[in-house]
Amino acid sequence: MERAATVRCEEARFALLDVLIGRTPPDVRRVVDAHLAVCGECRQEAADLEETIGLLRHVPAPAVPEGFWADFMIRLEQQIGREPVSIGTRLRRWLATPPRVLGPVAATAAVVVILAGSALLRQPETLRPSPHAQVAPFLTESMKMFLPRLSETVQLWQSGLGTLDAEPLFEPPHDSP
Amino acid sequence: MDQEDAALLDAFKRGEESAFTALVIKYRETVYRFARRMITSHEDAADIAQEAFIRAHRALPRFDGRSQLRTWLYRITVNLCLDFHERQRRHVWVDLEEVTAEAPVEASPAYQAEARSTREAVAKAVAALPPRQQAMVTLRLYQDLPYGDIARIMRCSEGTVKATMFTALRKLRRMLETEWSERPR
Repeated sequence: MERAATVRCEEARFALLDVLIGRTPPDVRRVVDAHLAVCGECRQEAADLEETIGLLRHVPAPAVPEGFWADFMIRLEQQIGREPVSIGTRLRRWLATPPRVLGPVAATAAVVVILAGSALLRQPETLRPSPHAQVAPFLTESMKMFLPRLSETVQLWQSGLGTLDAEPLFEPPHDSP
Repeated sequence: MDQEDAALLDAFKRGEESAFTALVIKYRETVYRFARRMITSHEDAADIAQEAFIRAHRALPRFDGRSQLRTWLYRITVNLCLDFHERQRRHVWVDLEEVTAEAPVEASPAYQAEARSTREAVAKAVAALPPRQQAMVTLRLYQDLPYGDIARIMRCSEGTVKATMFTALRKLRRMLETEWSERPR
């Protein structure tokens, strides 16, 4: 109450704005009320302000015509689409790419490089002699005649003696000139 | 900054245009309504709202997020409205049809006419204020922004906002008193 008596009119009028249009802490409101109780001029000012603010708030919010927002969005997209994107903007956007995106991108790129590299460096399988080709030099005509189920024999050979890493048991016969 | 705005801003900076569309949808009403209060004509207010978002799209990659996105958008819109007023150069006009378009149905025709006439007078008085005062009154009374935000938007101190508001309200009061005293009884 003592503070209310000492508060100046200017202070009280500024606080009035908060009281009339805003959220005012209870202590400020009490100070203003106490000042108004003893100051007729400020009381008149408060009444005028209150009425003016009431009248201003009486004006309704402007109406938006039907379908306005759909047109607005289409027009905006068209206008923005016509805007050139500068190199600076592109660069800024690229630099703004956060590290959490860069991680997966870098990992994916690494996998692609490794796969591509291994595909290029790998020897084509066709260059390696097939088990059939390895066996072929050891098969003479007589062997073929005496072994009508040749394919079975070849499979037998592959599974044991004819494996890729197996040492040949004997030298292949030399071709006659 | 508002978390949702921050996420949308991040996405936009990564190149996701849909994030900007989301921001427009979020703020278009706010921007348009403010422009419409400042400009009155629907077409001009719509053009200003469009221009505000085009400018925002252009400047958003440089937006550092130190202020609220809403405050930043308001600042763009306020500047556009002040530029518009500057071009109009004190050419005070109010489309009364538009101002009173949303007049609610009142009890009697006489009361309705009185209410309509009051709204016209108030809208005309607000439109006659200097643009910066008009902007501050609109931001505080109609957009319900705190004084601190208005100060940031208008690039002045909170004290200046309050003093300007006070001057504007007194001026409005005088204008309305004159208007009513001239009315036929």
